[in-house]
Amino acid sequence: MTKGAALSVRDLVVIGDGGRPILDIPVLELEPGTTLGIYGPSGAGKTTLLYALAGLADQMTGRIAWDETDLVGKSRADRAAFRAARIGMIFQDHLLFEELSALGNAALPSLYAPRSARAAIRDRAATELERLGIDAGTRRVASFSGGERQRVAVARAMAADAPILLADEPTASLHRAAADALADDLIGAARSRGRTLVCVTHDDTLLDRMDRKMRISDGRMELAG
Amino acid sequence: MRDFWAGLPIWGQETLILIALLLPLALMAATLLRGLAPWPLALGMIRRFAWINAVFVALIAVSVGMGIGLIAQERGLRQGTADAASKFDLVVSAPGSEISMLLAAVYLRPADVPLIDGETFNAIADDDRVRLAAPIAFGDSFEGDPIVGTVAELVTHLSEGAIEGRVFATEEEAVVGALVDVPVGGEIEPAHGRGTAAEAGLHGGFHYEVVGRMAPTGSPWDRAILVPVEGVWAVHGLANGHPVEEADGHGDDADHDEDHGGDDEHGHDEAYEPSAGQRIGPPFEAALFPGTPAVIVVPEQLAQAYALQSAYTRDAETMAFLPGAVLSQLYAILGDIRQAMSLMSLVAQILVAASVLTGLVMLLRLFERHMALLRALGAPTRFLVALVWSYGAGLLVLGGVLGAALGWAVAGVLSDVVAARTGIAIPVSLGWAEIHLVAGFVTATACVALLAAWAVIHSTRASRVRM
Repeated sequence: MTKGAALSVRDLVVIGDGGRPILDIPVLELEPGTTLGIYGPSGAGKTTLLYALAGLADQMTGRIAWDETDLVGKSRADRAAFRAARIGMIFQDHLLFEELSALGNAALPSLYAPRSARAAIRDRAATELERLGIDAGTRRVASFSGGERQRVAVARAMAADAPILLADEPTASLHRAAADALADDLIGAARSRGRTLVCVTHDDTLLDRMDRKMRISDGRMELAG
Repeated sequence: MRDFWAGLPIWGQETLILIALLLPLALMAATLLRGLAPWPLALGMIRRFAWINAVFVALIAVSVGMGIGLIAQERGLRQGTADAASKFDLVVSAPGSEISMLLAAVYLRPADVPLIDGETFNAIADDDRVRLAAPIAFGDSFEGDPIVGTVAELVTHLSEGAIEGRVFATEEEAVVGALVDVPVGGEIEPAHGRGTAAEAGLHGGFHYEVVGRMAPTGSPWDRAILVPVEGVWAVHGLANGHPVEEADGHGDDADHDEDHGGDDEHGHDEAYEPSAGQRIGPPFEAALFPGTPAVIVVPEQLAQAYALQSAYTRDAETMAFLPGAVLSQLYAILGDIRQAMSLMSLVAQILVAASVLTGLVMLLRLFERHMALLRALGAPTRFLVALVWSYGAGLLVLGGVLGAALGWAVAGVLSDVVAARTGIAIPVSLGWAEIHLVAGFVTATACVALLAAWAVIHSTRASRVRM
């Protein structure tokens, strides 16, 4: 049974390309299995925070600890390995490999996983696709609808059985019905296995279903619920 | 170590060189790909831009193929011309150009050359060190194939006795080369001259009967019609070298400087009068010997060829040369040309490979978000480099292999063209040099591809996933 990870952020400052701080988070604590929605105006630093939590920011100081692992002090390679093992990521515009099938995309992490883990990743990807109602057959994803593509991306995020899910505007490119269905899937994926979910979104429907909400404006947190 | 190397058979040395050339490629592949499986994505990249990738592969294949074809063809040409000349140990002729004589006597490309007289011929024929001294006479042709007058022993020597039917026994009999389109038992009416200048019907309806066919020799002699030299002389109204049957009275004024190259009009309008039972073959009466442009000499022992060469190299009288030695000089020149052309084709290959790799780097910009995505998902840098490298190296290997096939095919076509024009059979094969060239090309470009892949991946930041 997957168990979510606890997050502890202290004095996080992310430096932008211009050398100026673009995000400043003094304290952020999440219990394992919590779902957090981040909202706020465009360009305020929401996605910067999400990428920092994934260890994808190039320059940052402070501390981002998932359970006991502090990402700030780790090398790029170690952070990549941590992501591969512990974090599932979902992006605004799905980002699938058009030439691969749904299963090929969902099982993408198996391509660089240790040989011993590959079969398990493929099996889990197939199970998740089935649960999400996607035909895992040989049809290439190029012909999939937006909703189907985003569900493939969700299956991909969960294929490695990561305890942490990070989603960047997952419903933004979907129409209402598809967005609501995806919200169900995303929340369900987090709840069913006790995963910790951090989700950047403008979508109030999705936001209202989160345990906690946080507004970011001008690189600072404004409200924490 | 040196002894070990020298003790290896040729194929062993060549195989080791091949392994050494491919080793960096294998090491790169093993190091990059260990524990990773980027194939589905690499295949996806190839499929995404299938046409562009096909053009890249075609460019590589053509540039490699040109290099391969050049080497294979040059080697085939050397081998083919050498094989065609292998039966011709020594040629004695009047002083002049060795290359002209080589072309005339060995490759049957007659030129206007002076003749050597009967005394000289007999001196050669009577030499103890000489096993076979064959005079040759040109001038006539049949449907474009040259008719060559000579002695029966040369036919046996050239064909190594492999004759369907038998050797000619009278002036009216002929033995054809393997590629002449006349069956044994067929008839041949000689036309005077050769090629476009050939004139039929000048020899009074005289016919040769084909009594034998030589096995293929891979030389221009495969297209030749071999007849007794007496027949050619007699048809042209010359003495035939034998006093007893000397019948037409032209023998005494045989002109030793007469041109047998094809355009003389001397005495050809007389009908040939066959004299049954006439003797053919040596010895010849010196005074009645009309002359021969060259004497093909086979020594008793191969080593004596050099002694005979110096014996018959006499200022203003005769010139003797070993066709093999003349060919070596030609090959030296050919080798220089080949090196220059190899260099040019190598430069072309490098340029093509460089442009293809540049194209790939630009193409990879279109995959930048997917690279960033893989980074964001946690794929190690080595996986990304392996993905890009296996994509590029896949195209290079495919292009290299297709190029080898293409080069082989091109060499085959060129050989057919040369064979059709000269009768020299050019063997076409993929030799070690070509295999080494392809292996070296693929390994070198794959190394460059690795650097390019590393540079591309290094400049790809995970944050590019947001666009």
